[in-house]
Amino acid sequence: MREAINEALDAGRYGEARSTVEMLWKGQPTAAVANYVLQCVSRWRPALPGRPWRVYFLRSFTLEPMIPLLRAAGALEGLDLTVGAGPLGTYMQEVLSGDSDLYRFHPDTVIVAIQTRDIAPSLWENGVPGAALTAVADYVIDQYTTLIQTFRSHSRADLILHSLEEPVHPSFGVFDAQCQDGQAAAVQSINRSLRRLASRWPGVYVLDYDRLVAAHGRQNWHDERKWLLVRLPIRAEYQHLMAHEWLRYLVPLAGCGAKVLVSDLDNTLWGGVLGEDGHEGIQVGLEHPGAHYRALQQVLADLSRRGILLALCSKNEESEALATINRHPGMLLRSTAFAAIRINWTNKAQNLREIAQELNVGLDSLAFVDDSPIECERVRRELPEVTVIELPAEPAAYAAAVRRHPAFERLALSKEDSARGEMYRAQRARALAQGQSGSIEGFYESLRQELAMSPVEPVHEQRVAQLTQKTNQFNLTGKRYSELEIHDLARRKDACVFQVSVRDRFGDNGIVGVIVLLHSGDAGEIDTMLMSCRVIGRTVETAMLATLLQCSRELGLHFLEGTFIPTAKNGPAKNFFADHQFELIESSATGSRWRLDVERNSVVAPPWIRISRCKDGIYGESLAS
Amino acid sequence: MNLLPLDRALQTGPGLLTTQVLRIAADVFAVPMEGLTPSSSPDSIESWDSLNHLNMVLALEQELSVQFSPEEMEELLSIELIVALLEEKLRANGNHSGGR
Repeated sequence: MREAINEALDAGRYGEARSTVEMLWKGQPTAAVANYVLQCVSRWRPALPGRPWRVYFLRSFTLEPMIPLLRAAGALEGLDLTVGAGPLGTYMQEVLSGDSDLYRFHPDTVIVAIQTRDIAPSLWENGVPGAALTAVADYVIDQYTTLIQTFRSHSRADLILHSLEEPVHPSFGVFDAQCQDGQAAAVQSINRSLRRLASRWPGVYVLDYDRLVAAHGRQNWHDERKWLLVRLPIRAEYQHLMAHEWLRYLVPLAGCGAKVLVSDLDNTLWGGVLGEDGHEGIQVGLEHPGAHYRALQQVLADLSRRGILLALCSKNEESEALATINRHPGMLLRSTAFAAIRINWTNKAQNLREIAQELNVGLDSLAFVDDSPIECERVRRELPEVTVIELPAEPAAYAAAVRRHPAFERLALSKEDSARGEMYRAQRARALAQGQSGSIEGFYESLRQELAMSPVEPVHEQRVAQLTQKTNQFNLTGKRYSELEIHDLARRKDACVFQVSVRDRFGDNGIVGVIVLLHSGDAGEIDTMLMSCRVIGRTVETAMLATLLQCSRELGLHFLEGTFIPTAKNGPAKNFFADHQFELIESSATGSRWRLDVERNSVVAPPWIRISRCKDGIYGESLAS
Repeated sequence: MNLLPLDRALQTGPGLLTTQVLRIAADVFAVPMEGLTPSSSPDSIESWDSLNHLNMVLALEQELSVQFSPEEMEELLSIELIVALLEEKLRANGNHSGGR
């Protein structure tokens, strides 16, 4: 395998090299292989860059051996991780001191990995059930409260808190389970409080370490010898699972997750091959063996409620497959659950390109699920941007393989997320309407679009930040903001953050646009202007600019300036300034500067979009027209 | 996978076990395999520091399904010592599990 990898690397076939490296890593996620993976990564990095992300650990135990595992696994999920860790057990000092290594590291994410036996030894061993343990629990929560508050006063980075672990062997044995104030009860109460704390602070999350350890067996997880020798509590075989758990947080925080899950049909959503076994012969339903395939469908249904779009890509006769999907009594997902469908005999890489185009997302937003190693390999080689999830040989393990994949994790859910599938179905109807209405203006008219633009409301700061993180195509500058940064910007006197929502006759698209305007004196700077791909190609950007111009006049601005920073994907925004009467004032390889005279221009909103600027962003009364 | 569990590795011959240990050491210490010999030790390999020693022990434990005691960890100070200890562990294992 290594020979094949080196050969591919030497020949510059990086997609193929990465795919083989991934197989090697999945089969042997060890400290040695991690180092080898990282050597390979450094060779393909120039061609296949990852998203840079800085992670700092505040910790009470040795985790250095897990850092290469985390960096290797992260590289295979599209992350370019730089990792730092503070000294053992000095987490509190580091948080309290404003010029500690922690803050000098400028982390994007900080992980607080503290164990029960370090922060509260009496909850781990030698603890007598009673009021003393309850007091310990209160003390621990005070510590975490101080930690979060102080950290937030110095840093806006995401903060991930490990939950505390229940003792493997409570000091009082089974009696502990009879007590309201035993060791396990105290740990549980701390963990409940941690969740409460985290929910009160934006950008603070809990990693359920206790559940992770329990899932793999408390006794197996621990290595008491290495704990005593070098303060390393986790056994060699389990360390990659710890790294994987961290990735389930880092992937969504860094915006590297998938937006669309594209699934195969035969031997994936049902057992057997439809073309050979027929409608009656395939296996899917509540009984064995069909239950394993239905369990995977249940995972897909859950992901869809999380905001992940579903799509189908299968080599089959389309009419036959659709009939089975819609009529087979064992199927959980019907064809309406899928935002895009490609059932044909074309190669899957081509179909995936089309699906990405149809759904207006980049190829790196696709995750492809298939049971066939050959199909998976082909997609990995041709489309290295796509996340490929090759199903395990055993159908009973299908559901878990997809469920625990970091690409589908979300740390916050907005209303838009859970309704996304619905919105894309409406979009399919829109595309149909475009086909029917002859002229493009006629199509715009027929959409009956209404746009509401207002200063961002506190409840929507999260969605606005999410849009800056995820919008790649119509995005003038590609600047990424965290929820906290949006929160801060919205409160600055020299900045305005606008949320833009659009609805039309097919449904409400929710918040689909963001503008960040910075201003001083009579000049305004378009720091950010972006629009979700859901509303690209409907003249919404012109309506947004017209509304922004009106706001600029009210602020007394005479000029609006903006920069277009080209990225790999923002081609759709390339001509925005030129198309809207901006003058080019400077141009270089890294971007172009544009200026518009706020008074002397004739930019108006298109007549087919109704605009409102109500404070609370409700559609309806038109203030702008 | 190009790696075998310890008992099978030994059945196939001690040469293979040495090769496996060399590969793990080469990965962990980030040196080419050709640069390692049975007598390679912390004195001859610059990157063989205490953290990488721990990393190597963890890799051996995970890839060969063995466990080292703290005393053994301190003895593993050259490639040949590692191979010798692994062979010894297999024999002990063999006695332990009877006719496996």
